[in-house]
Amino acid sequence: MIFATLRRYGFAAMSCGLALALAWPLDAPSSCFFLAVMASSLLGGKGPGLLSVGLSALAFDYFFLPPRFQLAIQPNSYFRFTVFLGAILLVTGIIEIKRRVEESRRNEREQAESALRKSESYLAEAQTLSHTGSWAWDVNRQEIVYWSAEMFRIYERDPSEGLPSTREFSAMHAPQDWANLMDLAHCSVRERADMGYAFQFVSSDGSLKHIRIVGHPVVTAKGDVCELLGTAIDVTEQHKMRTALEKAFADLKRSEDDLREIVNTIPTLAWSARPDGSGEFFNRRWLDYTGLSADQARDWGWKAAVHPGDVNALVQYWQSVLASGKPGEIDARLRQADGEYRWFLFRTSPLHDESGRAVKWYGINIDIEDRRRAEEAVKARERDLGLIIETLPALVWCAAPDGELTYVNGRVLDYIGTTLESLARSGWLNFLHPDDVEPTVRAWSYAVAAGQPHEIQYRLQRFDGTYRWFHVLGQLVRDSEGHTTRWYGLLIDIDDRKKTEETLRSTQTQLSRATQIATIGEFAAAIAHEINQPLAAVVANGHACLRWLAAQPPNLFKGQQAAERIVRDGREAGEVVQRIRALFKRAALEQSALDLNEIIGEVLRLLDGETRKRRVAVETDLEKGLARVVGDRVQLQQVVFNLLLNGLEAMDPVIDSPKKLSIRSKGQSQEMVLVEIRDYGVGLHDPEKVFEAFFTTKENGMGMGLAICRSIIEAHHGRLWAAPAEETGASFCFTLPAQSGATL
Amino acid sequence: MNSDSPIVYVVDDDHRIREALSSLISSMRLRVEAFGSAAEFLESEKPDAPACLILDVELPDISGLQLQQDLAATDAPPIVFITGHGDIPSSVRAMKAGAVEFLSKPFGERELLDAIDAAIAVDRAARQKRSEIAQLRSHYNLLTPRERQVLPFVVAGFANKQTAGDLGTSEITIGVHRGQIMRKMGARSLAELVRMADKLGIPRASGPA
Repeated sequence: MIFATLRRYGFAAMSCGLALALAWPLDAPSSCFFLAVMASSLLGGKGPGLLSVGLSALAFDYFFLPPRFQLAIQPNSYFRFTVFLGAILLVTGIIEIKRRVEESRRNEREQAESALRKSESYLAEAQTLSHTGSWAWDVNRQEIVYWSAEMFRIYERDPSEGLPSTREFSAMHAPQDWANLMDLAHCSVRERADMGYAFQFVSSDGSLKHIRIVGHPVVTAKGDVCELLGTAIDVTEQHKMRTALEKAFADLKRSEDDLREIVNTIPTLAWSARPDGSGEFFNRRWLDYTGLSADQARDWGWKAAVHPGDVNALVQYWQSVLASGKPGEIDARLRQADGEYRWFLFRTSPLHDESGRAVKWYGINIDIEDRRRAEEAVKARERDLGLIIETLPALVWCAAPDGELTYVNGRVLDYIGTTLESLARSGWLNFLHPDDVEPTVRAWSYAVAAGQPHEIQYRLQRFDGTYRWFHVLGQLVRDSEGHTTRWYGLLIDIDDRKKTEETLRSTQTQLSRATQIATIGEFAAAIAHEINQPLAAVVANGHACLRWLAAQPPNLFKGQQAAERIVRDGREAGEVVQRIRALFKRAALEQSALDLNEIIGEVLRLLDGETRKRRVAVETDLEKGLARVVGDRVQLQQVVFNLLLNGLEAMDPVIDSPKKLSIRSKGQSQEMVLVEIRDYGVGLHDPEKVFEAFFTTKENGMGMGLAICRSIIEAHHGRLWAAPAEETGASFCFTLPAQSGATL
Repeated sequence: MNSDSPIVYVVDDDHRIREALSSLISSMRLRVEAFGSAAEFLESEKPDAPACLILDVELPDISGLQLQQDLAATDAPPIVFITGHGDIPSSVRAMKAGAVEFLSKPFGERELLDAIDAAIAVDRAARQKRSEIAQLRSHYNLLTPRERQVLPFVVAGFANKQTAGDLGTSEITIGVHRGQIMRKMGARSLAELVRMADKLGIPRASGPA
């Protein structure tokens, strides 16, 4: 800067020196200095100009004004010097003024240019942001004369390639789009009207750009159209947004439709109402059910579908719900399209706005007909059950888990002749037979404490004061969690049975006798054989004896032999009769020490004919030295006889295997003697049942034999039992106590 | 007592009966043999003489009725049953199966003797018939096979010519066979030969064509 200034001042000084050097030989000082001042002012500016003015004035005065080489000025030279100085000052001044004017002008231009540049950059930015490019089309030359930078971007053309030719530009469009554009352009020119066109541009990556072109004709003063000016806007994003928006709208509409469909198809009756309670919407189910149309149901028309008996209560309740603004529900009958009424649960809930005011009421009606019916059925069943328990020809009672009597049915009260209250007051124990109170209390306390089923027999006083036997059963019922809830019980009148049992017991002895007689028939055959056998021998021997004696000569030896046999066999026959008589002799129970083997032997002899007739092989395994038992000979014979005869008869149906009856006796222990009678017959179905009185499998049996046998053995402190034998048949065993310390 | 004198078998498991009957029967001048069971009886040697069997219905091994059935097919002696039970079904069965008598114990001497006599008479007749047949059979065994072939035609009354035609031989040959048959069988007439053939159970040839 400083050098530039020095250079400018140096140039001024040098130009003055050059002017002096030229002026001297030429003797034209004024012109030379004039030129120097002009040059210094023009090129150096105000300072150097003034310097050259000063130097030129001094040099002119010193070298060219007389007195020469002196600075003094003659008066006649004053004028000349003044004109000279004035002239060069004027030149300097003019040049300076001109320079200043130029400078200010340059500044103004520069400012305007920078403003223009700025606005251009704003515009370009705006165009970029808005994807809007501007263009100009020369109508006469039919070509593009201007494209803004954004146009290049939109059309994806490299700005360095410059503006596209008309041919290139047309190639950027689909043929149809180009034809349309050209038509519109011509139309715009002709009509002097704006044009607009939207089309799709296939970008280099294959995606589609949505471009909108707008054009405006520029009219000259003469009224001709010289240019079309316009913009091209890339609306791809807007397009996308619009598409998305449209889709969103479509979705929204669909979901609305879905919602309506749901409301209409949910398997329940749904509706909405206005805040005043009037119906607004009823879903299709509602309308289908009631058979009303939407118009009929609207407002208060829905009341027509409500049962006349329920409608007032329903409307009243509805008003109270509306007033409260809170959800509510009520049951009412609703008429079906076919006229049938069904029970429904009306349930409603309000929709509140921000201020908490109910703006709408939504409601559903739930069909509860079946539930109500079920409930009614349950109630009816409860009533029925109550009735059944009351009318049941049985005495029923209930008690709390702690044992306190809570209920008895009418039958019990009728029997006792009291009321539930007085029974509860006086206590049920008061109605028991005094002898039964103590064991009953004990058993009941135990059952209650243990939670075990209760069972006892006691006598209960009847209204007329008589006592009858009852069999009492109680069962503790637990709920699903196992807590005891209640005792349920029955009182069963067993008085008649009890009496029968007693009668039975008292007649058992007589029955025993009766069976003894009954078995006589069975003895008969055995007796006949036993007697006939020796008798036949006696008769034959008698005849033989007579013949031997009548022979000529008499055979005395043979006759004697025959007579001896007569005596022997006759005696045997007598013994048989004795045995039979002993068997039937009804003596008082005679206690004597008996050898069971002996008894078995006697009975076997009696049954000899039977076993042979039935072709049964009898096998005996009798322990030698068997301990004696104490008892009644006849009774024990009867037992053995019965058991053996049973065994024989059990084998009657057997045809395919050998018939065998085996009898075994042995000392079971020191104290007990065991007898086992085993047959290979049909066997037993129920080894206990055969001992029951009147149980029989024989066509003409009384079913008392084994029952009597058991009572006899038990009277002898023994035990009699039966068991199915291995393979086939059955075995009957009895034990009797051995006579203490008296073994043989 | 010679070997042809009748013999009475007693089968009863009761020794008293056996003893008494043995004594009684031998006092009737009959031979007697007693057995305690059916098996003993079956195993015993039996002389060739008219006989009868006094059988107890109830026996330890097999019953009297069973034994009767078993013996039916053989030349066993006629049976007189005795029983201590005397039940009607058994007696009916026994009589139907050919028993001579069914006696209930005790029975009298007369009844027994009558039954034995009847039974032995039956046996004598049966034996007679059996021996006759045995003799005829021995005669018959003398015939040649051809003669045995011709016999049915002769007893059926065929003329020699017919027989010859049927058997495919000459009338003369048949005449010779016929003479041989008559001679060997010891038949004096055709009628006698026909009776013999019947006893032997020889079938007659089917009627003359």
